[in-house]
Amino acid sequence: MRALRGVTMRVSEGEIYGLVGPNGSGKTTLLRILAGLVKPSSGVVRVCGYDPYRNFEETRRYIGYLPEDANTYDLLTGYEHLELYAKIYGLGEDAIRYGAELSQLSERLRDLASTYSRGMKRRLLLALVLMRKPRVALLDEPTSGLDVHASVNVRNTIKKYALETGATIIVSSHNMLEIEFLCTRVGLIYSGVIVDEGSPRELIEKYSASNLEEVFVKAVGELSRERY
Amino acid sequence: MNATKLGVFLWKELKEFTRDRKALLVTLLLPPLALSAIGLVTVLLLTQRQVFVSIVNMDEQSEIAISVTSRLLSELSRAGYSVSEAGDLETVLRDPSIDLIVVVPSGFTSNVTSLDRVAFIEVIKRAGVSSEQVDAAESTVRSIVSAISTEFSVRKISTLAERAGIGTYSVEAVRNPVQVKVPVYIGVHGEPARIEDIWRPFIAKLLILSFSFVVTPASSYVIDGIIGERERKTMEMLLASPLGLTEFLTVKVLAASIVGLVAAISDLMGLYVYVAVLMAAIGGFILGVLEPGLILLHAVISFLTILAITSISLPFISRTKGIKSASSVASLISTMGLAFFIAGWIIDFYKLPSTLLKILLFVPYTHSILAIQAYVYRDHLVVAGCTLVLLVLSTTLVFISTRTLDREKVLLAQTYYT
Repeated sequence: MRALRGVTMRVSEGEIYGLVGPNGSGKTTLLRILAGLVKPSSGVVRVCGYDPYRNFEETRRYIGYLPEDANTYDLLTGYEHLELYAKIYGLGEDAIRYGAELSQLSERLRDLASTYSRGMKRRLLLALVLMRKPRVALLDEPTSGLDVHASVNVRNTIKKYALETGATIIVSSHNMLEIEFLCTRVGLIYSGVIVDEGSPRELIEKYSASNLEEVFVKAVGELSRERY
Repeated sequence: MNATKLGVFLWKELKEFTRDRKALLVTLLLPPLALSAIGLVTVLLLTQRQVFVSIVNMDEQSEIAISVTSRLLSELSRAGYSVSEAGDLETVLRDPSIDLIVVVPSGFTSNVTSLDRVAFIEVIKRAGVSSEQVDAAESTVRSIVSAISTEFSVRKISTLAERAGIGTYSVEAVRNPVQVKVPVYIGVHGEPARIEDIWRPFIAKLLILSFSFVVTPASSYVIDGIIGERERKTMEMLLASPLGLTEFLTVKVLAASIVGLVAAISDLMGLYVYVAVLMAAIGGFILGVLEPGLILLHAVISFLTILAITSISLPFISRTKGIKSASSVASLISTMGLAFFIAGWIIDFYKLPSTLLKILLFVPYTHSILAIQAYVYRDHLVVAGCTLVLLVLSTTLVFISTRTLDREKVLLAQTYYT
């Protein structure tokens, strides 16, 4: 089964790029390819000039990847998670401190992750990805399944990180509001194809829509009717 | 492979294991507790089982027959059996509650006092209800009869010697002129054997049997380590990190082997206590004959055996879609191990013909069994050889297993493209 059908996209340094599409549209596969976890059957992928699959070791220095439904280890504390990933990446105390700050878990970092709420776990996971300040952060549905407060918190963390570090961020989401809030450019993905892309404002104007949701419906309307 | 990352990830695995109280309880405490309890219950049941013995004297008019009957009654009673005297053989034969019938037949006295006939005491056992206690009761009867027989021999020989005017004689020399002396135990190289030497083969068998207990927890741990990590959604972030698939899988196998080793020691303790309790109940004593060298060898071989088994199952486990199918594959491999280790309990692999042994050596389990059995024979060359083969084999298997997999195969074995 082909998950992607000829995706062409380019994300510039410092951009926050949003991938918007329904379930099964190919967002996760695209992010996994960019993270070097899945080998594309054809085509060329470059992250910071490297093929992330072939040059897996080299690209680890640049890429941070948060999978959609990633989870924490129940029997480790939040702090131990930070320690574990810091050691795997060969980082020191500074990175752990930065991770602790990003997670906003303060004293709760000493507790086992099994006692955390879903929002707390997501913040910790995001901190594990961003604590080493990757040049490219790939965030798959970072607020999926979170309540409003937790979602806002995670979004603010991503925004703050982008401003502080100038990193390139590719974020996938169903949530159009989130994409409008975070992203400088958006790619509308449907059935493995990038249907259209541009800044949220450009797309809203182009499709004479009031928000990104309308843009998406109009952009994929024809394709959607063909499919269903 | 990066040793630092390997160490960091192994530390995480072991930390998780030590914090999993249920897993710790099942792996460490349950085997010694359960096996000790089973041993005690077995002993309790053994001692509670009553054996009913009935003695029938069919040579009633004779004082000798009455005396033999009463001696059987008192000595069997003293030995803890429920003994009764019956007047009628037919009645006791039809009574299913009687396990053992001892008959002093008519003409017993006449035979026992003659010089050309032998007097028999009949022992009747009920088929189908035989147990070790009934056998023990029969053995007690034989001992009592043997003592009675000796007493009659002494009387007969003394009387004959007196009548023949023989001054110097020994009853035993007439009764049993040729005898086998009490066996002398020697060690493998002819040296006088110590108690440890006598018990060592039995202890070695126990050690081999205990391998079979550790295969399953180790397989479960490696299944949980890989498929569980995938299902709990903690694997993808790790695979995207610089940890590397080789380090990830190697640590899973190493951690499973360490858990297996812990389980091996715990199971061995349990098994040892179980056998010690049973032996104590029947008058034996094996505590204190555990040899540190043998125990150390067992620990090393356990670790390497589990390492080999888990690395054989690793490629299958990593590629399977869920815990059920992975468990099926792992249990198949474990069952093969189980069959071998039970065979090691019964068969002395060290004494097998070399042609047959050469074929068996293709199976890793054979090396595990052979290493322990060769230790009993003090064949240190074979011990070292088997240990080395296991070490090379297990590390090669880990290497091959990790090289035949890639991140995509491990990650997407269960999930689908979205």
